Amino acid sequence: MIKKISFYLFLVSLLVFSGCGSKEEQVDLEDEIIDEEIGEEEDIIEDDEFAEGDEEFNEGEEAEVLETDAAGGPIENIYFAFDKFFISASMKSKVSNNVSATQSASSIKIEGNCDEWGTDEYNYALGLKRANSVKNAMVAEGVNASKISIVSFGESNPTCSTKSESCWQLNRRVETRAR
Amino acid sequence: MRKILFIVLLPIVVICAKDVSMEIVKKKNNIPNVYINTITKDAATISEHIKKMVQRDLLISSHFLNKEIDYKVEFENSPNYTTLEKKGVQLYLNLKINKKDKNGISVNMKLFDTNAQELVASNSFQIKNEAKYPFLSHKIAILINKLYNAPPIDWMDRYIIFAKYNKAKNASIVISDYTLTYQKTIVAGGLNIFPKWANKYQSSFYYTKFFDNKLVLMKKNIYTGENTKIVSSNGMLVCSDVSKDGNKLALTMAPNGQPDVYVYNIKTKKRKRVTFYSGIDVGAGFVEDDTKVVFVSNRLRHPNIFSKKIQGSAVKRLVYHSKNNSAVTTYKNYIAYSSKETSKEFGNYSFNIYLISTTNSFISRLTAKGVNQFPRFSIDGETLLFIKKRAGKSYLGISRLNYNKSYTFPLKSGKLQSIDW
Repeated sequence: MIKKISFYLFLVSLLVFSGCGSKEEQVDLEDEIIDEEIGEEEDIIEDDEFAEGDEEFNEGEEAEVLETDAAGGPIENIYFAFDKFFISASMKSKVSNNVSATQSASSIKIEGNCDEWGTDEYNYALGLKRANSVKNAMVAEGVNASKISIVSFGESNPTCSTKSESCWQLNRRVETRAR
Repeated sequence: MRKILFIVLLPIVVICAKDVSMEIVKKKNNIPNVYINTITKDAATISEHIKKMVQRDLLISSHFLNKEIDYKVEFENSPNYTTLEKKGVQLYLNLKINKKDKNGISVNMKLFDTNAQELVASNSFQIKNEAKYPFLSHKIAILINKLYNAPPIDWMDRYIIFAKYNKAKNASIVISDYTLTYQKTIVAGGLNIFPKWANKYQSSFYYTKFFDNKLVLMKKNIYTGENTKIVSSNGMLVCSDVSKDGNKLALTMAPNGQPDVYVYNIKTKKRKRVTFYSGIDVGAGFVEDDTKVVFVSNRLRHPNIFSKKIQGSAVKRLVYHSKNNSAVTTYKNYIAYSSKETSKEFGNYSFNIYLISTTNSFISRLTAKGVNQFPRFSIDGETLLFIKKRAGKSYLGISRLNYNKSYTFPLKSGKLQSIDW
Protein backbone atom coordinates (compact mmCIF):
# COMPACT_ATOMS: atom_id res chain seq x y z
CA MET A 1 0.00 0.00 0.00
CA ILE A 2 3.05 2.14 0.01
CA LYS A 3 6.01 3.20 -1.97
CA LYS A 4 4.22 3.52 -5.20
CA ILE A 5 4.85 7.17 -5.26
CA SER A 6 7.03 6.97 -8.32
CA PHE A 7 4.55 4.77 -10.07
CA TYR A 8 1.67 7.03 -9.29
CA LEU A 9 3.64 10.14 -10.11
CA PHE A 10 4.25 8.59 -13.42
CA LEU A 11 0.60 7.85 -13.98
CA VAL A 12 -0.27 11.39 -13.01
CA SER A 13 2.34 12.72 -15.41
CA LEU A 14 0.77 10.63 -18.14
CA LEU A 15 -2.47 12.44 -17.70
CA VAL A 16 -0.68 15.74 -17.86
CA PHE A 17 1.41 14.92 -20.89
CA SER A 18 -1.39 13.39 -22.81
CA GLY A 19 -3.31 16.60 -22.41
CA CYS A 20 -6.02 14.69 -20.76
CA GLY A 21 -7.27 17.11 -18.20
CA SER A 22 -9.72 14.62 -16.87
CA LYS A 23 -11.20 15.09 -13.45
CA GLU A 24 -10.28 12.64 -10.78
CA GLU A 25 -12.79 9.88 -10.45
CA GLN A 26 -13.83 8.80 -7.02
CA VAL A 27 -15.09 5.28 -7.00
CA ASP A 28 -16.95 3.68 -4.19
CA LEU A 29 -14.81 0.78 -3.10
CA GLU A 30 -17.69 -1.50 -2.30
CA ASP A 31 -18.84 -1.39 -5.89
CA GLU A 32 -15.36 -2.00 -7.10
CA ILE A 33 -14.43 -5.16 -5.24
CA ILE A 34 -13.63 -7.76 -7.77
CA ASP A 35 -13.62 -11.26 -6.41
CA GLU A 36 -12.27 -13.42 -9.13
CA GLU A 37 -11.99 -17.14 -8.75
CA ILE A 38 -9.04 -18.53 -10.62
CA GLY A 39 -9.43 -21.86 -12.38
CA GLU A 40 -9.19 -25.27 -10.88
CA GLU A 41 -6.11 -26.26 -9.01
CA GLU A 42 -3.88 -28.22 -11.31
CA ASP A 43 -2.47 -31.63 -10.57
CA ILE A 44 -0.07 -31.60 -7.70
CA ILE A 45 3.42 -32.72 -8.54
CA GLU A 46 5.49 -33.87 -5.61
CA ASP A 47 9.17 -33.02 -5.58
CA ASP A 48 12.21 -34.14 -3.68
CA GLU A 49 14.00 -30.97 -2.68
CA PHE A 50 12.47 -30.75 0.75
CA ALA A 51 12.91 -33.26 3.50
CA GLU A 52 10.28 -35.91 3.24
CA GLY A 53 6.95 -35.17 4.82
CA ASP A 54 7.31 -37.73 7.53
CA GLU A 55 4.35 -39.52 8.98
CA GLU A 56 4.32 -38.46 12.58
CA PHE A 57 2.04 -40.43 14.78
CA ASN A 58 0.94 -39.68 18.26
CA GLU A 59 3.12 -41.03 21.00
CA GLY A 60 1.43 -44.26 21.94
CA GLU A 61 -2.00 -45.28 20.89
CA GLU A 62 -4.82 -43.78 22.84
CA ALA A 63 -6.13 -46.17 25.47
CA GLU A 64 -9.59 -47.52 24.91
CA VAL A 65 -12.15 -45.18 26.35
CA LEU A 66 -15.23 -46.20 28.25
CA GLU A 67 -18.29 -44.36 27.10
CA THR A 68 -20.62 -46.05 29.53
CA ASP A 69 -20.31 -46.96 33.14
CA ALA A 70 -22.11 -49.90 34.69
CA ALA A 71 -23.03 -47.98 37.77
CA GLY A 72 -23.93 -44.61 36.35
CA GLY A 73 -25.25 -45.12 32.83
CA PRO A 74 -24.09 -43.51 29.65
CA ILE A 75 -21.91 -40.44 29.48
CA GLU A 76 -23.66 -37.61 27.69
CA ASN A 77 -22.39 -34.76 25.59
CA ILE A 78 -22.86 -31.24 26.92
CA TYR A 79 -24.06 -28.76 24.28
CA PHE A 80 -23.50 -25.00 24.15
CA ALA A 81 -25.01 -21.91 22.55
CA PHE A 82 -23.24 -20.04 19.74
CA ASP A 83 -20.03 -18.37 20.97
CA LYS A 84 -20.83 -19.30 24.60
CA PHE A 85 -18.96 -21.37 27.13
CA PHE A 86 -21.25 -21.30 30.16
CA ILE A 87 -23.34 -24.39 30.92
CA SER A 88 -27.04 -23.77 30.39
CA ALA A 89 -29.60 -24.84 32.97
CA SER A 90 -30.80 -27.67 30.75
CA MET A 91 -27.30 -29.11 30.51
CA LYS A 92 -26.47 -29.01 34.23
CA SER A 93 -28.38 -32.25 34.92
CA LYS A 94 -26.34 -33.96 32.19
CA VAL A 95 -23.14 -32.92 33.92
CA SER A 96 -24.47 -34.46 37.13
CA ASN A 97 -25.25 -37.67 35.26
CA ASN A 98 -21.72 -37.70 33.89
CA VAL A 99 -20.30 -37.30 37.38
CA SER A 100 -22.15 -40.49 38.38
CA ALA A 101 -21.16 -42.26 35.19
CA THR A 102 -17.46 -41.60 35.70
CA GLN A 103 -17.26 -42.43 39.40
CA SER A 104 -15.15 -45.53 38.88
CA ALA A 105 -12.86 -43.99 36.27
CA SER A 106 -9.21 -43.53 37.12
CA SER A 107 -8.91 -40.64 34.69
CA ILE A 108 -11.34 -38.41 32.83
CA LYS A 109 -10.61 -36.57 29.61
CA ILE A 110 -12.84 -33.65 28.67
CA GLU A 111 -12.77 -32.55 25.03
CA GLY A 112 -14.15 -29.18 23.92
CA ASN A 113 -15.47 -28.72 20.38
CA CYS A 114 -16.90 -25.90 18.27
CA ASP A 115 -18.94 -25.36 15.16
CA GLU A 116 -17.24 -24.15 11.99
CA TRP A 117 -17.98 -20.45 12.52
CA GLY A 118 -15.30 -18.10 13.72
CA THR A 119 -11.57 -18.15 13.24
CA ASP A 120 -9.85 -21.38 14.15
CA GLU A 121 -7.57 -20.05 16.90
CA TYR A 122 -10.50 -18.39 18.63
CA ASN A 123 -12.46 -21.61 18.27
CA TYR A 124 -9.71 -23.66 19.91
CA ALA A 125 -9.84 -21.25 22.85
CA LEU A 126 -13.63 -21.38 22.93
CA GLY A 127 -13.56 -25.19 22.94
CA LEU A 128 -11.09 -25.09 25.80
CA LYS A 129 -13.25 -22.72 27.82
CA ARG A 130 -16.18 -25.07 27.28
CA ALA A 131 -14.12 -28.04 28.45
CA ASN A 132 -12.96 -26.03 31.45
CA SER A 133 -16.55 -25.11 32.35
CA VAL A 134 -17.50 -28.79 32.40
CA LYS A 135 -14.41 -29.65 34.41
CA ASN A 136 -15.23 -26.97 37.00
CA ALA A 137 -18.84 -28.17 37.20
CA MET A 138 -17.71 -31.76 37.79
CA VAL A 139 -15.18 -30.69 40.40
CA ALA A 140 -17.92 -28.72 42.13
CA GLU A 141 -19.87 -31.97 42.37
CA GLY A 142 -16.99 -33.74 44.05
CA VAL A 143 -14.83 -35.15 41.26
CA ASN A 144 -11.13 -35.04 42.06
CA ALA A 145 -9.63 -32.32 39.81
CA SER A 146 -6.37 -34.21 39.48
CA LYS A 147 -8.20 -37.00 37.61
CA ILE A 148 -9.40 -34.61 34.91
CA SER A 149 -7.53 -33.40 31.85
CA ILE A 150 -8.96 -31.00 29.30
CA VAL A 151 -8.23 -30.41 25.65
CA SER A 152 -9.79 -28.50 22.78
CA PHE A 153 -10.23 -29.73 19.25
CA GLY A 154 -11.72 -26.47 18.03
CA GLU A 155 -13.66 -27.18 14.86
CA SER A 156 -11.45 -30.13 13.86
CA ASN A 157 -13.75 -32.82 15.24
CA PRO A 158 -17.30 -32.28 13.97
CA THR A 159 -19.93 -34.96 14.43
CA CYS A 160 -22.21 -33.43 11.84
CA SER A 161 -21.31 -31.86 8.51
CA THR A 162 -24.66 -30.72 7.16
CA LYS A 163 -24.96 -26.97 6.67
CA SER A 164 -27.76 -26.29 9.13
CA GLU A 165 -28.24 -24.73 12.52
CA SER A 166 -29.34 -28.06 14.04
CA CYS A 167 -26.10 -29.61 12.79
CA TRP A 168 -23.88 -26.79 14.05
CA GLN A 169 -25.61 -27.13 17.42
CA LEU A 170 -24.41 -30.75 17.63
CA ASN A 171 -20.84 -29.65 17.01
CA ARG A 172 -20.82 -27.06 19.83
CA ARG A 173 -20.25 -29.70 22.45
CA VAL A 174 -18.05 -31.14 25.16
CA GLU A 175 -17.35 -34.86 25.17
CA THR A 176 -16.35 -36.61 28.37
CA ARG A 177 -14.25 -39.75 28.19
CA ALA A 178 -13.53 -42.00 31.14
CA ARG A 179 -10.74 -44.56 31.44
CA MET B 1 19.91 -19.20 1.67
CA ARG B 2 16.48 -19.99 0.42
CA LYS B 3 17.23 -18.51 -2.93
CA ILE B 4 20.20 -20.79 -3.25
CA LEU B 5 18.55 -23.93 -2.03
CA PHE B 6 15.19 -23.40 -3.48
CA ILE B 7 14.44 -22.71 -7.07
CA VAL B 8 17.75 -23.22 -8.72
CA LEU B 9 17.41 -20.27 -10.92
CA LEU B 10 20.60 -19.34 -12.60
CA PRO B 11 20.05 -15.86 -13.84
CA ILE B 12 22.90 -16.07 -16.28
CA VAL B 13 22.95 -12.44 -17.26
CA VAL B 14 20.74 -9.51 -17.69
CA ILE B 15 22.25 -8.46 -20.94
CA CYS B 16 20.39 -5.29 -21.38
CA ALA B 17 18.40 -4.28 -18.37
CA LYS B 18 18.21 -0.75 -19.66
CA ASP B 19 16.22 1.89 -17.96
CA VAL B 20 13.12 1.34 -19.97
CA SER B 21 10.98 2.55 -17.18
CA MET B 22 7.67 3.37 -18.55
CA GLU B 23 8.68 4.01 -22.10
CA ILE B 24 5.81 1.79 -22.75
CA VAL B 25 3.29 3.75 -20.82
CA LYS B 26 3.88 7.06 -22.49
CA LYS B 27 0.76 6.21 -24.34
CA LYS B 28 -2.66 7.19 -23.25
CA ASN B 29 -3.62 3.63 -22.41
CA ASN B 30 -1.01 3.19 -19.79
CA ILE B 31 -1.37 -0.45 -18.83
CA PRO B 32 0.81 -2.31 -21.31
CA ASN B 33 -0.46 -5.30 -23.23
CA VAL B 34 1.87 -8.27 -23.10
CA TYR B 35 2.00 -11.13 -25.58
CA ILE B 36 3.83 -14.30 -24.54
CA ASN B 37 5.17 -16.57 -27.26
CA THR B 38 6.58 -19.98 -26.30
CA ILE B 39 9.03 -21.98 -28.36
CA THR B 40 9.86 -25.58 -27.45
CA LYS B 41 11.19 -28.79 -28.92
CA ASP B 42 10.43 -31.24 -26.14
CA ALA B 43 8.41 -29.52 -23.39
CA ALA B 44 5.08 -28.53 -24.92
CA THR B 45 2.94 -29.24 -21.86
CA ILE B 46 5.13 -27.49 -19.32
CA SER B 47 5.56 -24.57 -21.74
CA GLU B 48 1.81 -24.05 -21.78
CA HIS B 49 1.73 -24.24 -17.98
CA ILE B 50 4.50 -21.64 -17.70
CA LYS B 51 2.83 -19.30 -20.19
CA LYS B 52 -0.48 -19.57 -18.37
CA MET B 53 1.17 -18.97 -15.00
CA VAL B 54 3.13 -15.89 -16.16
CA GLN B 55 -0.07 -14.50 -17.69
CA ARG B 56 -1.87 -15.08 -14.42
CA ASP B 57 0.89 -13.38 -12.43
CA LEU B 58 0.90 -10.35 -14.73
CA LEU B 59 -2.86 -10.09 -14.44
CA ILE B 60 -2.79 -10.32 -10.66
CA SER B 61 0.01 -7.74 -10.49
CA SER B 62 -2.56 -5.31 -11.95
CA HIS B 63 0.31 -3.62 -13.80
CA PHE B 64 -0.04 -5.47 -17.12
CA LEU B 65 -2.69 -6.93 -19.40
CA ASN B 66 -2.37 -10.02 -21.53
CA LYS B 67 -3.19 -9.96 -25.21
CA GLU B 68 -3.23 -12.97 -27.52
CA ILE B 69 -2.12 -12.27 -31.11
CA ASP B 70 -1.19 -14.45 -34.05
CA TYR B 71 2.42 -13.43 -34.47
CA LYS B 72 5.29 -15.85 -33.87
CA VAL B 73 8.92 -14.82 -33.99
CA GLU B 74 11.90 -17.20 -33.84
CA PHE B 75 13.87 -16.87 -30.63
CA GLU B 76 16.97 -15.57 -32.40
CA ASN B 77 15.02 -12.85 -34.23
CA SER B 78 13.49 -9.55 -33.21
CA PRO B 79 9.81 -8.84 -33.82
CA ASN B 80 8.60 -6.25 -36.28
CA TYR B 81 7.67 -3.36 -34.01
CA THR B 82 5.28 -1.82 -36.52
CA THR B 83 3.34 -5.07 -36.60
CA LEU B 84 3.26 -5.17 -32.81
CA GLU B 85 2.04 -1.58 -32.67
CA LYS B 86 -0.74 -2.35 -35.13
CA LYS B 87 -1.76 -5.36 -33.04
CA GLY B 88 -1.78 -3.29 -29.87
CA VAL B 89 0.99 -5.17 -28.08
CA GLN B 90 3.49 -3.10 -26.13
CA LEU B 91 5.59 -5.96 -24.75
CA TYR B 92 6.56 -9.11 -26.65
CA LEU B 93 7.90 -11.90 -24.43
CA ASN B 94 9.62 -14.77 -26.18
CA LEU B 95 10.23 -17.86 -24.03
CA LYS B 96 12.33 -20.76 -25.30
CA ILE B 97 11.56 -23.67 -22.98
CA ASN B 98 13.23 -27.06 -23.14
CA LYS B 99 13.86 -30.05 -20.93
CA LYS B 100 17.18 -30.24 -19.16
CA ASP B 101 18.81 -33.21 -17.45
CA LYS B 102 16.46 -35.67 -15.73
CA ASN B 103 13.59 -33.54 -14.44
CA GLY B 104 14.80 -30.04 -15.13
CA ILE B 105 13.78 -27.26 -17.46
CA SER B 106 15.74 -24.45 -19.04
CA VAL B 107 14.06 -21.21 -20.03
CA ASN B 108 15.57 -18.51 -22.22
CA MET B 109 13.67 -15.28 -22.18
CA LYS B 110 13.72 -12.20 -24.39
CA LEU B 111 11.54 -9.18 -23.77
CA PHE B 112 10.95 -6.64 -26.55
CA ASP B 113 9.46 -3.19 -26.03
CA THR B 114 7.36 -1.93 -28.94
CA ASN B 115 7.63 1.76 -28.05
CA ALA B 116 11.36 1.67 -27.34
CA GLN B 117 11.73 -0.59 -30.39
CA GLU B 118 14.39 -2.71 -28.81
CA LEU B 119 15.26 -5.75 -26.80
CA VAL B 120 15.02 -4.70 -23.16
CA ALA B 121 15.87 -7.92 -21.31
CA SER B 122 17.48 -11.23 -22.08
CA ASN B 123 17.70 -13.80 -19.30
CA SER B 124 18.12 -17.49 -18.76
CA PHE B 125 16.69 -19.64 -16.01
CA GLN B 126 17.08 -23.25 -15.05
CA ILE B 127 15.24 -25.37 -12.54
CA LYS B 128 16.23 -28.86 -11.51
CA ASN B 129 12.69 -30.00 -10.85
CA GLU B 130 9.89 -29.10 -13.21
CA ALA B 131 7.35 -29.42 -10.41
CA LYS B 132 8.50 -26.02 -9.31
CA TYR B 133 7.62 -24.32 -12.58
CA PRO B 134 5.14 -22.02 -10.78
CA PHE B 135 8.03 -20.40 -8.92
CA LEU B 136 10.00 -20.04 -12.15
CA SER B 137 6.97 -18.37 -13.72
CA HIS B 138 6.60 -16.06 -10.73
CA LYS B 139 10.29 -15.10 -11.10
CA ILE B 140 9.72 -14.14 -14.75
CA ALA B 141 6.70 -12.00 -13.85
CA ILE B 142 8.60 -10.35 -11.00
CA LEU B 143 11.47 -9.52 -13.36
CA ILE B 144 9.20 -7.96 -15.98
CA ASN B 145 7.44 -5.98 -13.27
CA LYS B 146 10.77 -4.79 -11.86
CA LEU B 147 12.01 -3.68 -15.30
CA TYR B 148 9.05 -1.36 -15.52
CA ASN B 149 9.50 0.09 -12.06
CA ALA B 150 6.02 -0.96 -11.05
CA PRO B 151 5.31 -1.48 -7.35
CA PRO B 152 7.00 -4.71 -6.22
CA ILE B 153 5.28 -8.07 -6.53
CA ASP B 154 8.08 -10.03 -4.87
CA TRP B 155 5.52 -11.67 -2.59
CA MET B 156 4.59 -13.89 -5.53
CA ASP B 157 7.51 -16.25 -5.13
CA ARG B 158 7.32 -16.65 -1.37
CA TYR B 159 6.28 -19.98 0.04
CA ILE B 160 2.80 -20.30 1.44
CA ILE B 161 2.59 -22.72 4.37
CA PHE B 162 -0.79 -24.00 5.44
CA ALA B 163 -2.47 -26.64 7.56
CA LYS B 164 -5.45 -28.48 6.16
CA TYR B 165 -7.96 -30.76 7.82
CA ASN B 166 -8.14 -34.14 6.11
CA LYS B 167 -10.65 -35.73 8.49
CA ALA B 168 -11.67 -35.44 12.13
CA LYS B 169 -8.65 -34.82 14.40
CA ASN B 170 -6.31 -35.09 11.44
CA ALA B 171 -4.51 -32.22 9.73
CA SER B 172 -1.35 -32.07 7.65
CA ILE B 173 1.00 -29.19 6.86
CA VAL B 174 1.72 -28.29 3.26
CA ILE B 175 4.05 -25.87 1.45
CA SER B 176 2.80 -24.31 -1.78
CA ASP B 177 3.12 -21.36 -4.10
CA TYR B 178 0.49 -18.67 -3.83
CA THR B 179 -1.69 -20.24 -6.53
CA LEU B 180 -1.70 -23.66 -4.80
CA THR B 181 -0.41 -25.19 -8.04
CA TYR B 182 2.78 -26.47 -6.43
CA GLN B 183 2.17 -28.38 -3.21
CA LYS B 184 4.38 -30.45 -0.95
CA THR B 185 3.18 -32.10 2.26
CA ILE B 186 5.79 -31.49 4.90
CA VAL B 187 4.11 -32.91 8.04
CA ALA B 188 1.47 -35.65 8.05
CA GLY B 189 -0.13 -38.02 10.53
CA GLY B 190 -2.25 -36.89 13.49
CA LEU B 191 -3.36 -33.35 14.19
CA ASN B 192 -0.79 -30.75 13.05
CA ILE B 193 -2.01 -27.17 12.97
CA PHE B 194 -1.09 -23.46 13.01
CA PRO B 195 2.15 -23.47 10.99
CA LYS B 196 4.09 -20.20 11.27
CA TRP B 197 7.34 -19.35 9.46
CA ALA B 198 10.20 -19.06 11.96
CA ASN B 199 12.17 -16.50 9.95
CA LYS B 200 12.07 -14.34 6.85
CA TYR B 201 14.13 -16.91 4.95
CA GLN B 202 11.30 -19.44 5.30
CA SER B 203 13.74 -22.23 6.16
CA SER B 204 11.97 -23.38 9.34
CA PHE B 205 8.49 -23.17 10.75
CA TYR B 206 6.71 -23.63 14.05
CA TYR B 207 3.56 -25.71 14.37
CA THR B 208 1.36 -27.28 17.01
CA LYS B 209 1.25 -31.05 17.34
CA PHE B 210 -1.27 -32.96 19.42
CA PHE B 211 0.16 -35.79 21.52
CA ASP B 212 -2.90 -37.30 23.22
CA ASN B 213 -3.43 -35.00 26.22
CA LYS B 214 -0.45 -32.79 25.53
CA LEU B 215 0.13 -30.12 22.93
CA VAL B 216 3.66 -29.52 21.76
CA LEU B 217 5.06 -26.58 19.79
CA MET B 218 7.49 -28.02 17.25
CA LYS B 219 10.04 -26.31 15.02
CA LYS B 220 10.88 -28.01 11.74
CA ASN B 221 13.56 -27.22 9.16
CA ILE B 222 12.10 -27.82 5.70
CA TYR B 223 15.44 -28.73 4.11
CA THR B 224 17.04 -30.99 6.72
CA GLY B 225 13.82 -32.32 8.23
CA GLU B 226 15.17 -31.62 11.73
CA ASN B 227 12.20 -31.47 14.09
CA THR B 228 12.67 -29.93 17.54
CA LYS B 229 10.33 -29.67 20.54
CA ILE B 230 10.15 -26.05 21.70
CA VAL B 231 7.59 -26.00 24.49
CA SER B 232 4.53 -27.97 25.58
CA SER B 233 1.30 -27.09 27.32
CA ASN B 234 -1.99 -28.57 28.36
CA GLY B 235 -5.22 -27.37 26.85
CA MET B 236 -4.05 -25.09 24.07
CA LEU B 237 -0.82 -23.98 22.42
CA VAL B 238 -0.48 -21.87 19.28
CA CYS B 239 2.41 -19.82 17.89
CA SER B 240 0.61 -16.72 16.61
CA ASP B 241 3.63 -14.61 15.65
CA VAL B 242 7.41 -14.47 15.57
CA SER B 243 9.38 -11.32 16.44
CA LYS B 244 11.48 -9.62 13.74
CA ASP B 245 14.72 -11.08 15.11
CA GLY B 246 13.15 -14.51 15.44
CA ASN B 247 13.98 -14.74 19.15
CA LYS B 248 10.53 -14.20 20.63
CA LEU B 249 7.27 -15.98 19.98
CA ALA B 250 3.78 -14.69 20.65
CA LEU B 251 1.94 -17.76 21.94
CA THR B 252 -1.56 -18.58 23.03
CA MET B 253 -1.17 -20.98 25.94
CA ALA B 254 -3.50 -22.40 28.53
CA PRO B 255 -1.37 -24.15 31.17
CA ASN B 256 -4.30 -24.04 33.60
CA GLY B 257 -7.16 -24.24 31.16
CA GLN B 258 -7.20 -20.48 30.67
CA PRO B 259 -6.21 -19.27 27.17
CA ASP B 260 -3.98 -16.21 27.38
CA VAL B 261 -1.29 -14.48 25.37
CA TYR B 262 2.30 -15.24 26.38
CA VAL B 263 5.65 -14.15 24.98
CA TYR B 264 8.21 -16.95 24.87
CA ASN B 265 11.92 -16.22 24.62
CA ILE B 266 13.61 -18.84 22.44
CA LYS B 267 17.08 -18.21 23.90
CA THR B 268 16.27 -18.13 27.61
CA LYS B 269 13.35 -20.57 27.26
CA LYS B 270 11.36 -18.36 29.62
CA ARG B 271 7.80 -17.27 29.08
CA LYS B 272 6.00 -14.14 30.17
CA ARG B 273 2.24 -13.99 30.54
CA VAL B 274 0.98 -10.85 28.80
CA THR B 275 -2.82 -11.01 29.25
CA PHE B 276 -4.76 -11.89 32.39
CA TYR B 277 -8.41 -11.74 31.39
CA SER B 278 -10.52 -14.67 32.59
CA GLY B 279 -12.20 -15.11 29.19
CA ILE B 280 -10.48 -15.62 25.85
CA ASP B 281 -7.31 -13.86 24.67
CA VAL B 282 -5.76 -15.31 21.50
CA GLY B 283 -4.08 -14.58 18.17
CA ALA B 284 -1.44 -12.06 19.23
CA GLY B 285 0.79 -10.29 16.72
CA PHE B 286 3.83 -8.18 17.54
CA VAL B 287 3.71 -4.47 16.66
CA GLU B 288 5.76 -1.33 17.32
CA ASP B 289 9.19 -2.98 17.28
CA ASP B 290 7.88 -5.97 19.16
CA THR B 291 7.08 -3.90 22.26
CA LYS B 292 3.34 -4.36 21.95
CA VAL B 293 0.87 -7.05 20.89
CA VAL B 294 -2.40 -6.77 19.01
CA PHE B 295 -4.73 -9.64 19.87
CA VAL B 296 -8.29 -10.99 19.83
CA SER B 297 -10.24 -10.98 23.08
CA ASN B 298 -13.84 -11.51 24.13
CA ARG B 299 -13.51 -9.13 27.08
CA LEU B 300 -16.50 -7.16 25.77
CA ARG B 301 -18.49 -10.41 25.57
CA HIS B 302 -17.80 -10.73 21.84
CA PRO B 303 -14.47 -11.27 20.08
CA ASN B 304 -12.80 -8.01 19.16
CA ILE B 305 -9.37 -6.53 18.51
CA PHE B 306 -7.24 -5.02 21.29
CA SER B 307 -3.65 -4.00 21.92
CA LYS B 308 -1.39 -4.05 24.96
CA LYS B 309 2.22 -3.17 25.72
CA ILE B 310 4.11 -6.31 26.65
CA GLN B 311 5.53 -4.55 29.71
CA GLY B 312 2.38 -2.56 30.48
CA SER B 313 -1.03 -3.26 31.95
CA ALA B 314 -3.48 -1.08 29.99
CA VAL B 315 -5.49 -2.74 27.25
CA LYS B 316 -6.72 -0.61 24.34
CA ARG B 317 -9.62 -1.45 22.06
CA LEU B 318 -8.66 -0.95 18.43
CA VAL B 319 -11.77 -1.76 16.42
CA TYR B 320 -15.15 -0.11 16.94
CA HIS B 321 -16.89 -1.69 13.98
CA SER B 322 -18.97 -4.87 14.38
CA LYS B 323 -19.38 -7.06 17.44
CA ASN B 324 -17.60 -10.14 16.17
CA ASN B 325 -14.02 -9.66 14.94
CA SER B 326 -12.08 -12.84 15.55
CA ALA B 327 -8.82 -12.64 13.56
CA VAL B 328 -6.29 -9.88 13.01
CA THR B 329 -3.08 -9.03 11.17
CA THR B 330 -1.09 -5.81 11.30
CA TYR B 331 1.23 -3.87 9.03
CA LYS B 332 2.66 -0.59 10.31
CA ASN B 333 -0.39 1.61 10.95
CA TYR B 334 -2.83 -0.72 9.29
CA ILE B 335 -4.95 -3.48 10.78
CA ALA B 336 -6.86 -6.07 8.79
CA TYR B 337 -9.44 -8.16 10.60
CA SER B 338 -12.14 -10.68 9.87
CA SER B 339 -15.61 -9.56 10.89
CA LYS B 340 -18.90 -11.43 11.13
CA GLU B 341 -21.52 -9.48 9.20
CA THR B 342 -24.81 -8.76 10.88
CA SER B 343 -26.49 -7.24 7.85
CA LYS B 344 -28.89 -9.48 5.96
CA GLU B 345 -27.30 -8.05 2.82
CA PHE B 346 -24.49 -10.54 3.20
CA GLY B 347 -26.64 -13.51 4.20
CA ASN B 348 -26.37 -15.53 7.39
CA TYR B 349 -22.93 -16.41 8.69
CA SER B 350 -20.96 -14.19 6.38
CA PHE B 351 -17.49 -12.98 7.33
CA ASN B 352 -15.65 -10.20 5.50
CA ILE B 353 -12.18 -8.77 5.87
CA TYR B 354 -11.82 -5.09 6.67
CA LEU B 355 -8.81 -2.80 6.56
CA ILE B 356 -8.51 0.12 8.96
CA SER B 357 -5.85 2.67 9.87
CA THR B 358 -4.81 3.20 13.48
CA THR B 359 -4.16 6.88 12.78
CA ASN B 360 -7.38 8.00 11.12
CA SER B 361 -10.95 6.90 10.41
CA PHE B 362 -10.11 5.03 7.19
CA ILE B 363 -12.05 1.78 6.82
CA SER B 364 -12.42 -0.38 3.77
CA ARG B 365 -14.06 -3.73 3.13
CA LEU B 366 -11.76 -6.00 1.13
CA THR B 367 -13.98 -8.99 0.42
CA ALA B 368 -17.49 -9.18 -0.93
CA LYS B 369 -19.12 -12.49 -0.09
CA GLY B 370 -18.74 -15.82 1.69
CA VAL B 371 -16.68 -16.58 4.76
CA ASN B 372 -13.34 -14.76 4.64
CA GLN B 373 -10.98 -15.31 7.54
CA PHE B 374 -7.38 -15.55 8.72
CA PRO B 375 -5.95 -12.40 7.05
CA ARG B 376 -2.17 -12.17 6.71
CA PHE B 377 -0.31 -9.13 5.31
CA SER B 378 2.50 -9.67 2.82
CA ILE B 379 5.97 -8.58 3.90
CA ASP B 380 5.60 -5.29 2.00
CA GLY B 381 2.04 -4.67 3.18
CA GLU B 382 0.79 -4.43 -0.42
CA THR B 383 -1.16 -7.65 -0.49
CA LEU B 384 -3.29 -9.65 1.89
CA LEU B 385 -3.58 -13.41 2.05
CA PHE B 386 -6.71 -14.95 3.52
CA ILE B 387 -8.81 -18.11 3.75
CA LYS B 388 -12.17 -18.19 2.03
CA LYS B 389 -14.85 -20.82 2.60
CA ARG B 390 -17.68 -21.11 0.16
CA ALA B 391 -20.14 -23.92 -0.51
CA GLY B 392 -18.18 -26.37 1.60
CA LYS B 393 -14.92 -25.68 -0.22
CA SER B 394 -11.74 -23.91 0.92
CA TYR B 395 -9.96 -21.25 -1.11
CA LEU B 396 -6.76 -19.32 -0.67
CA GLY B 397 -7.51 -15.66 -1.25
CA ILE B 398 -5.20 -12.89 -2.43
CA SER B 399 -6.34 -9.29 -2.05
CA ARG B 400 -4.41 -6.61 -3.98
CA LEU B 401 -4.95 -3.76 -1.59
CA ASN B 402 -4.27 -0.85 -3.92
CA TYR B 403 -6.32 -2.22 -6.77
CA ASN B 404 -9.48 -3.37 -4.98
CA LYS B 405 -9.16 -6.79 -6.49
CA SER B 406 -9.26 -10.22 -4.91
CA TYR B 407 -8.43 -13.57 -6.41
CA THR B 408 -9.19 -16.98 -4.97
CA PHE B 409 -7.57 -20.33 -5.60
CA PRO B 410 -9.46 -23.50 -4.70
CA LEU B 411 -8.01 -26.25 -2.54
CA LYS B 412 -8.71 -29.55 -4.21
CA SER B 413 -9.12 -31.66 -1.09
CA GLY B 414 -9.39 -30.99 2.61
CA LYS B 415 -10.21 -27.78 4.42
CA LEU B 416 -7.78 -24.93 5.08
CA GLN B 417 -7.09 -24.55 8.81
CA SER B 418 -4.51 -21.76 8.89
CA ILE B 419 -1.99 -20.07 6.60
CA ASP B 420 1.23 -18.09 6.68
CA TRP B 421 3.64 -16.63 4.12
